[in-house]
Amino acid sequence: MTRPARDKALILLVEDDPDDVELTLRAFKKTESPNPVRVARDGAEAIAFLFAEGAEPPGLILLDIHLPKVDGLEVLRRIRSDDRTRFIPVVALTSSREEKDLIKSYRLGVNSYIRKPVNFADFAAAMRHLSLYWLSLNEPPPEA
Amino acid sequence: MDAALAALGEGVVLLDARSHEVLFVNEPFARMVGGERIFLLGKRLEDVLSLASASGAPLAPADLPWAPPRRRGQQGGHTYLSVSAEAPRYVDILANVFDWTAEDGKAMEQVVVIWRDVTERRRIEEAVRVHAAQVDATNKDLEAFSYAVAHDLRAPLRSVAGFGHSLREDCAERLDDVGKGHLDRIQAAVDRMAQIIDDLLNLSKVSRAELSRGRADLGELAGRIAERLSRGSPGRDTAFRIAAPLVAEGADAGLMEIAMENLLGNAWKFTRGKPGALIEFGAEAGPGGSPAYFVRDDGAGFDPEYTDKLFIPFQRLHGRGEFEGSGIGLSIVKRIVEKHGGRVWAEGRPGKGATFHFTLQEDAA
Repeated sequence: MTRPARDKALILLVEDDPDDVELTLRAFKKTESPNPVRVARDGAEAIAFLFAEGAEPPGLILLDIHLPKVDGLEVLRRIRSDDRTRFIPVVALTSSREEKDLIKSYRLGVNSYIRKPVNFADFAAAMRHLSLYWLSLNEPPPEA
Repeated sequence: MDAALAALGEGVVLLDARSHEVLFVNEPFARMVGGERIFLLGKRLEDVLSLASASGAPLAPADLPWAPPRRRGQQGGHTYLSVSAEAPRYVDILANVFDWTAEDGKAMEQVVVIWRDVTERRRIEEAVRVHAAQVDATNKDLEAFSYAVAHDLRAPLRSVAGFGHSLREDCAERLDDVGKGHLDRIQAAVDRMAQIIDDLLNLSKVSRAELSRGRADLGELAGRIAERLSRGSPGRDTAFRIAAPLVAEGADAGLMEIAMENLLGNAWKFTRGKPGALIEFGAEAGPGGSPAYFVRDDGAGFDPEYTDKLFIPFQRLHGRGEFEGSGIGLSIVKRIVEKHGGRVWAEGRPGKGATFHFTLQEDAA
């Protein structure tokens, strides 16, 4: 399982709301992000994708906290407890600012927590900053 | 003496200090324990009554207020006793040990025990406590509900904003200026609604917050907020006059920053049209002697007839075209101040500015 070059690294978007999926994809397209985006529509799909045999590990995971079937916090816990995915940066991307969600997310090892802005221009700017920061500025740990 | 002791309304029992035998009981005491006076004489109270502590645990012989070792003077204090297990009465009891010399020259040691029936008071206190807990639970439910609603409203609003934006970009050549004007209105309405939702969430957050009391330098806080406001609109010639340092004891610094932001933010907003405006923050002696803080401006002011509406959520005294805002800011201030045990009030005249006063503790007055 090797990691592709970082500017081609996959972004995994875990999001159940189709409007949010489309708007997030649009934001990445508008900011001319070179990274392919893969969408998982719920927590179970995200886990199935991440832990499939020979799966390409994403360079960044954008995770909604409130998901059907397996919720985002459980997905986060699974990501952090498996050696294959332990170090992948995970950004909680959610509309909740509820304190208990924030605390649980950080306790489970989320790297960042973003409350989706209502205004699309602000949202697109947030997506651009996010992918730039985690996929080019930030140095990931060396591959094990 | 019998009549006088009966008229007291309180139970009076005279005991032999050594044997605990009842030497005298008055009528109210007999009524209290549902017995005949004559039946109680010569008995020991611990034998004929079921005595328990307020929590229901049986009273050990050593815990009886008239049990040795006895000290002279009052003891027992305000202990609750359940006189009978079937129909518990709760009594405040007071035991007073004294000795005196009888006619035959023998030293007597006796104990006077006064019993005050507080069953009714306890029942009322308990009812009040249960009621308060219910109100508290209802309020918490309501807070959780409004938080969830406000929170869930953001998601569809994001879709409206996002797809409005997409419409403008993807269909630009098919949209004329009228169409784009409509989209501008939609965008402005979305922004306003997003602001209202955020204010509602803040109001709910403030209401649910636990007060963490400490020292807060309100003057320093005000200075920081003023600097932030001035930096935000560099063209304005509004002056601040701030009393600093101005330390408030027992204040939650985090919540006070939110309150001061709202008060100074309001003053800043309502002096927008006035060249050379002045915004002041300071403290004076309040009506009850504790400090009353104030934020004063010489801006648009308000009609004093509507003073009561200022602190009610969503009540606005100015047209939307005139001054923006959700009408929640002052409700947030009110909740924060009341959480501290203080109160907030306002004075103003149209065109003559407004002053908001607040205290952070209960006034004796």
